[in-house]
Amino acid sequence: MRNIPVQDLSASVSSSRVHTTCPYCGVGCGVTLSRQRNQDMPIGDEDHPANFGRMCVKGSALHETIGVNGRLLHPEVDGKQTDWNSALDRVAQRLQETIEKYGPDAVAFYVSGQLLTEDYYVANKLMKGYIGSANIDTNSRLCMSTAVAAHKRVFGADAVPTSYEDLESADLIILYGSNMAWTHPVVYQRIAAAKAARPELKIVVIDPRRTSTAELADLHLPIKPGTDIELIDGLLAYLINEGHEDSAYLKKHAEDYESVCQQIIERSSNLSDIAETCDISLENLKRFYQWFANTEKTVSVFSQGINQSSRGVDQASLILYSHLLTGRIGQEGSGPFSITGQPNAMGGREVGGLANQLAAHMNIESEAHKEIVQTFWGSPTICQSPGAKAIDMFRQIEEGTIKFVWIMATNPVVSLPEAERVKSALSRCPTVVVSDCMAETDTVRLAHIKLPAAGWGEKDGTVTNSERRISRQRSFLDLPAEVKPDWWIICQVAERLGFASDFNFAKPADIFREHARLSAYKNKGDRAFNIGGMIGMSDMDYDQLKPVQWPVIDRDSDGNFVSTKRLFTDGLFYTPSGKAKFHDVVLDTSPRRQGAFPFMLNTGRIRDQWHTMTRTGLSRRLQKHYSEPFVEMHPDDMKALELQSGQLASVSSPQGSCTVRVSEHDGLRKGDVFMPIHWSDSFASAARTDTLVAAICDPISGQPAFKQTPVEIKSVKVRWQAILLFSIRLPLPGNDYWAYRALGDWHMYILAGNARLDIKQMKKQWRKQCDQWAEVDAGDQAMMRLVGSRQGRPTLWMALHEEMPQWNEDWLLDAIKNPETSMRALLLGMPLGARLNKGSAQICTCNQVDEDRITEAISKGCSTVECVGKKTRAGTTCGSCIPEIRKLLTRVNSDEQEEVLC
Amino acid sequence: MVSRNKPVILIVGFGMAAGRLLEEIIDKAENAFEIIVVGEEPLAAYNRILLSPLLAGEIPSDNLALHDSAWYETNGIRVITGDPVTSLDTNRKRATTASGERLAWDYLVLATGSRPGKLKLPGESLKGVQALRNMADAERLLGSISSIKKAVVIGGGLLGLEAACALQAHNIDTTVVHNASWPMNRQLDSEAGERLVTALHEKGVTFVADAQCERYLEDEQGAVAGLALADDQVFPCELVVEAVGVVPEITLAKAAGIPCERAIVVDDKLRTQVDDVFAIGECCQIEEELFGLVAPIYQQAAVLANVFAVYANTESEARRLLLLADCQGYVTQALPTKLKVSGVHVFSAGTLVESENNTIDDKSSPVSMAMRDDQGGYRRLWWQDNRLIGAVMFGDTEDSQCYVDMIAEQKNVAPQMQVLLDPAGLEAELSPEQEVSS
Repeated sequence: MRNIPVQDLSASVSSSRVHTTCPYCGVGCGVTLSRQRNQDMPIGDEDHPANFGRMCVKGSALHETIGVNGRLLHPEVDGKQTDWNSALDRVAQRLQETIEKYGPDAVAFYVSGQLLTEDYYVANKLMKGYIGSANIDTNSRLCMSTAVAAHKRVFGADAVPTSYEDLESADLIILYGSNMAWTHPVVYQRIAAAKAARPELKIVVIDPRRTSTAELADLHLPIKPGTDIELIDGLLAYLINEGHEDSAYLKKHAEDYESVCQQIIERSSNLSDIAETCDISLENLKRFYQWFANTEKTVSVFSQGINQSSRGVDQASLILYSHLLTGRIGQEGSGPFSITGQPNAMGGREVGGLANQLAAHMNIESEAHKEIVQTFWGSPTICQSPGAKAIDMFRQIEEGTIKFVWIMATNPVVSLPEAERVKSALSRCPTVVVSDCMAETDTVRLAHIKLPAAGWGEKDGTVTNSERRISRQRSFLDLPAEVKPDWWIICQVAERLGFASDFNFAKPADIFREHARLSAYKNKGDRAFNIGGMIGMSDMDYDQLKPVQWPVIDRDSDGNFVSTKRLFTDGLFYTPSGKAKFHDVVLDTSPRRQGAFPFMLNTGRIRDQWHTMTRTGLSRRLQKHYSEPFVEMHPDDMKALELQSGQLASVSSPQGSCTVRVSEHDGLRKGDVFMPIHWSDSFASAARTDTLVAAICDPISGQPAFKQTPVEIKSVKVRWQAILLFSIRLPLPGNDYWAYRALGDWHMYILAGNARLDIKQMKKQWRKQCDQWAEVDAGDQAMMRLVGSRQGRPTLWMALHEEMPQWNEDWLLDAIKNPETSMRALLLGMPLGARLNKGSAQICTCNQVDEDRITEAISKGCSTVECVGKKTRAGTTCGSCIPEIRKLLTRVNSDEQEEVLC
Repeated sequence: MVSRNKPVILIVGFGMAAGRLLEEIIDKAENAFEIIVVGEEPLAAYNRILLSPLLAGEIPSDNLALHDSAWYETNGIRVITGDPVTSLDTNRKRATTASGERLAWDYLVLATGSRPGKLKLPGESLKGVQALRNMADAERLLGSISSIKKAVVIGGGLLGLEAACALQAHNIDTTVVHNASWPMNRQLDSEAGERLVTALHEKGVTFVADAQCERYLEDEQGAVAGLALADDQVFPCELVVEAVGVVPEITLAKAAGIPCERAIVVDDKLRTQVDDVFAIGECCQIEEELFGLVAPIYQQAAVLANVFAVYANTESEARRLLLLADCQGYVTQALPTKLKVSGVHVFSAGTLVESENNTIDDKSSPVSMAMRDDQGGYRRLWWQDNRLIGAVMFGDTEDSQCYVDMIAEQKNVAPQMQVLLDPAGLEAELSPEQEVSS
């Protein structure tokens, strides 16, 4: 085996600090950390153009989520720890056997936007050029493939024309289906700062939910789910009818627009009908159209609300048309802007991580492109046709046509729609290989072969953010135990398959250079993705690489790469004709509300968690904002179902059922409900939201419609609810309901059930951890408390009530370590003589400020976010919670107004 | 009526009730009366509660007196000790002492206290069988204590346990025999009782439950040699302390024709049914209630002193009646018990329900909640209709006063964790001043 060279970063960074890129959302913020010291809080990199020093709460907690806690540290085959050689041999052997027996399309790779570009590159190369199948797809299918498809069919290339700074110079920003305040907090902060500096900057938020993002909006259009096409059709018709189309631009730079525009005009109703269809006021609809018509500098941001839809490609295309129609593209302060979800969804797109693409943005349908790629690689074969997209890939696993799957850095058992089918498909698949940094995820549990992959802070390479900016993710931690980077693992398997010479990479820089060469290879300017300027970069250039936006063709006189801020400035597109192409709209297939499933389920992220919580779930702070899976409902719907906030309820669809806590949110439309996507079987008994979602996909992109699932909701009756803190992680409990939370040294379980708990049995079961007990009981288990100690130190704390027990988390976690704390206070879970702490929700994660403290500050006279910040420190660090503080300001003030009126 | 400058109050009996009453009268009706107090014991009033610590050697005997002789002199109180009153003439308002002295009164207070209860077992008059009720008992015990190896205390109530622990403190191998299943069974539930037994064992005291005493064994010198139970168990010993309750001392009252039931019947102003005759303390009875603990008796002393203050301030009978009606009478209290044995903290108040029906549907029956730990700590509360009715604490007796108040004031407190674990915090929360200031 080859040794992995230790990267010498001393040339690129000062001895104690390392500059790298955050591994969470697609904003791609630069962060600076102390090397080898994971206790220091990461700070924003002031020189990084994505964030200029800003940070969000998830990034600020990065240091709490790295290290060896919960890591997969050794290769495992069939449940037994083994060495790398045996594990890699086994992967290669199973691959080879499967291909020989069933052909190359019987194997598949399911990869992820968490991989670095270099990892991604070799995975794609191995599958498409050496195995000879295109069965490699990425979890970016779930978030970005619609934008990819729309860009490709309209622009001729998967190319985002805009930069973050266009948001700052725009006069109108439209946010389509984006809760940016929570999902892309730093971009949101940049917009908020721009608006503070130029209050005339108008912001329109189009979202069925009144999210935190909407707090900043001049206009929020809470349209009925699934009516985006009608809304944007109407916008285009309005622009044409009112004479706002840029005919000269269209004539010169667009094709097929006349027929498409004609269709749009014919299809589109009058404004009041549109308002009715979208269920918004005519006045607001008109205002939106007028603002768009009259504002030259307009940026249309679109995200998952547009992409995760069965009509996604049409919706995204219409947004692109709105900019082509007005010629607002390729100019400062205007353009459509798809904001990516993952840190390296873009990088994956660039190397061909999607089953319907070749490498370097080349097309799988193009014979010429196939030849270019195969020639460049000198590979024995090249895939002939598109492979299975994510949903199809798992269907083929279910059907048995795919018999080998290698999943890298993603958790499809949680994140794919019809997740239970995915789980059972994987459990029947003859060979499941999983490369992951964590030992226990819902997917890792199903793997026959487990490969310990490097995590953030350990791996080294590049990522591309939403504005086409390539940045370095630098390693600053040693690889623990037997952990290896993904690129190395893939190359080792390639070597064992007999392709050693073509995967003979010593380090990520070698892979990156090949990737750069391919992007320029036979590229006569007909391919947007070109980083040919980076071909000749030395290892030191690579190590010191400053963030740069592709295409990168040249260097300036100082030797720096020339970044490309904006695309299509000359109106030339990458279609064969060089013109942007308009397309017909396909028929609507979005699911409709059905009688037995009267609610429409929307899904999405929460502020402080990332994906399936395998990493953010390790931070105590991050799980304080929301500690349990939940379904948000409109208060009127709750009333109709006689549900209370905090009660448990089942949410069911024809696909599956979840049990979560009900949470009231009057920012939802009546009949709509919302659930977060983050909880998995590792974190809760039944809260994999995607078990509910049907695998209905956009016909062009194959991206699933995660945002519109008809569901029914029923209250779940339990006799008791409990909080259990334990000093060790327990096997997954078998109670009717449970949810898990990491609390630093402690593990917390929220439990609920009907069956009587056998306390004696529990004590017996835990006797290894506890040799002494203190308890409170009310005989009938309506109330119970338990503190177990080992050698005088508490190791277990449990509170059980008919309702959720009340306790003071911050106090208890300190007090339980303090031998001076009275047992009565420990049992109570809060300090003696203190006012009953109702445990209000944490708003500011950075500075640990809860709702009560903020409300108190407001009622004591604070009327601005700044004042609340001064009084409580809330919102003064990363600012992610400012929208929520603003909401509290409005709420408390209006409450007080009401009191005055009474 | 005896013609003097000031009316005479004659107090018969000179225990803790009398001692406290003197203080209260001096406080509330200073110089209004001539006061005479007559006691059977050679000592002036002393703190009987401290007899066990005295026996245990924890305090010296001169710490027991409630007042020194200078105090009585200063306050003009005539003190007669070692000469009990032997007869009363309520018509002529005269008392006669054992030595034949005749004492006239305007107002008579009977504070004759109680006598130790007797089991009436064969052999009870043997040497070495005694009670621990007064200083003489304690002195007799202390006089022979060095020769005693084994002792038996009969009765696992408060006094018996205190006596047993005091004996054990002298390294006497002490056994408590008790006729119920656990000690202090009127004040404690079985679980607290079990913990108390454990604590007693840790001190070296053996506890024998459900014991039926049958007879005493006699040695060759005519002294006690042991105790035999009905089940033929024998406990050899050189000393037996009987601590089986008390009987109100009402012989004198009965002989004088003052109406008595179990004790001398008085109203809430401590008036007997005979004019100008009052009774206070363990010898009296208010409705059905008898008294054995010091707190209610001290309350009685305060009530009676107020009555005398009315008498002092007005001559008119009609006006007196009016004023007395306005006087605060004796109010029954929840009677908290605290066991005073060093290292063992036990508290009990209100009503204890041994086997409660804890089904949620049956709201009317008592519910209870308990806290316990492996270090011996225990606390249990009982509620009925959202009112606290009883409390037992073992080990940690902090905040016990909160329970006394909650039970007494019949506050509406739902059965919840905070009542059990943090009553002081809850009271602070419930009190209106707190709300205003917060």
